[in-house]
Amino acid sequence: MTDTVRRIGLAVILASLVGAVALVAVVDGQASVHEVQTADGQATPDAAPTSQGAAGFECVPDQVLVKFRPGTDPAAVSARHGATFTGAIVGLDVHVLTVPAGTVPEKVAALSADPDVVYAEPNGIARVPEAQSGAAQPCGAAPAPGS
Amino acid sequence: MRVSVIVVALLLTLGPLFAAPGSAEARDKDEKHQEEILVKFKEGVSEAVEQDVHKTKGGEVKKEKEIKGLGVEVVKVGKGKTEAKIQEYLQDPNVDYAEALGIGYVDWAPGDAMYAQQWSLNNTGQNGGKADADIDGPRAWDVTRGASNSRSAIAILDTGINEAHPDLAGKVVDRANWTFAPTLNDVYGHGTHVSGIAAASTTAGGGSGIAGVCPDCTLLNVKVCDDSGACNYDYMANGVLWAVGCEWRDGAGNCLSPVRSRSINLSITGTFNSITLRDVINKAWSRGAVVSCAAGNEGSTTQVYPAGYANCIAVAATTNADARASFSNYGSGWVDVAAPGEGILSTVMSGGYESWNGTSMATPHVAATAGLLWSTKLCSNASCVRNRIESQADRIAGTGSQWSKGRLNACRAVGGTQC
Repeated sequence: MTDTVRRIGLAVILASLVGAVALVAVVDGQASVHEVQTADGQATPDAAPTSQGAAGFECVPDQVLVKFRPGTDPAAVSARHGATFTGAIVGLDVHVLTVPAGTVPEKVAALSADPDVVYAEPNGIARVPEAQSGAAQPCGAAPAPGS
Repeated sequence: MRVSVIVVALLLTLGPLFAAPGSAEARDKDEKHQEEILVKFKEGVSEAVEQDVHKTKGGEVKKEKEIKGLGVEVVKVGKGKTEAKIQEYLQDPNVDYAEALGIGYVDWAPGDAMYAQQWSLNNTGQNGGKADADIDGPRAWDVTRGASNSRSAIAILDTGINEAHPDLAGKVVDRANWTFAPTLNDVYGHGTHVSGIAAASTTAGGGSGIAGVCPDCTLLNVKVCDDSGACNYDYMANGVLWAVGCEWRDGAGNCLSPVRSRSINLSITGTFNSITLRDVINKAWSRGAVVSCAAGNEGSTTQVYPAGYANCIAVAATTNADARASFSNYGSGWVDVAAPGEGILSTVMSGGYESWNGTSMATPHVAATAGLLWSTKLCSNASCVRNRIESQADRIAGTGSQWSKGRLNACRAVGGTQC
């Protein structure tokens, strides 16, 4: 599939997302527990991912990832929070919402408290670890002037 | 006497594993000297039916050579006829599989000009390191060098791949760009280096360059990092879902595409512990893919993601003396295996080769070993592949404290001998 086709495909799915979401059966969005070995050899669950802006990670400054409850109108809920949806992880039924730059922590908090939302979290940024990442900013920081 | 009996028994037991496709020349040469093949009948096929099948095909069962534990028979079919007879047996509905004995592959070594420098595959101390502080590539290749089928394809989720590199030409069988970068091709260079470690060809370019860990495996170019090496979590999530055919779903939540890869390489690290990223890793695992993830280069015990998730094999980096590389993250509570990651020669954007350091370089050793395993009949599911990689690792110093399972040994993972 070419980039162009993929982009068109994404645009189509975005344009029809309200309808599409109604078709997609949403599996239980609750975090499931997975066993990992700790240093002392005891099996413990994966540490629960935190949606809140713990210090020391990077995120896209104007995006959040949101999983809505089944039957929710994503556009309406997004509008209620001053956000617009601009992308999706269709296979997981997760929406990428655009919010004003620098408001990620507060939007994540507000969306997480919304009864129509299963979870909301920053759209993190990972790196190829050999990359120079000197310009990295902590998630939620105001965008640098000119960026 | 006793020793030679054991050796023969081992060779016979391992016979089925030798069947993976090798270079055509090596194979042809071997087959001229061979007159026996391996045949396994399906469960429940009676002795009488088996005898009837052999009679029809003109095969003579060598009873004394039967691999009883596996129910595999060694069948004499005559010199020069093995390939034709294998096809005949394969067409019989009572036959589970039939394949070449393939013992001629022992001690195969790639002809690549720079292979001698690749200590991670065969460490002779050539770089001042410790002999045998390696993954035992040559002995693994005696069993299999991978296969070009989709079951063995390795998905490289990275900055793209320079598909025009002579050592990677023709390797990439499918591709997708989940970033907003204008090209699917590698610009940053990271994905190209990772790809060569996993699957650089041993035949391309007239035997120049390097050998990948799984030289006969194919690659999927899944661009999830932009041209500055930044990998947004939604890019990664979509890339992982695409690799396992789940980028679209139907109304019942079923994935709409076939699994494209059963070995996913993520030489990518983030510090944000995300529900979304964890869920896609779990999805990949549930779809039957083994996921190998870099442990990161901070020299610390702090978990990174996706390596920190239970369904990733978290990979630390070792030196040519089998010690943890100083930059490698560690901690047996979350790091599963170690693999060579310092001074690793591989393909770069210029079309040439460079040695790089990083857990990103260690990770494709593991992902490619998964590719090797998928090309054998040892495993039918991802749990088995992961278990063989982990349980057959060499328990070098640091095992149990810096990583839980040991340093990768590809030879032992694929059931090789003299590893």
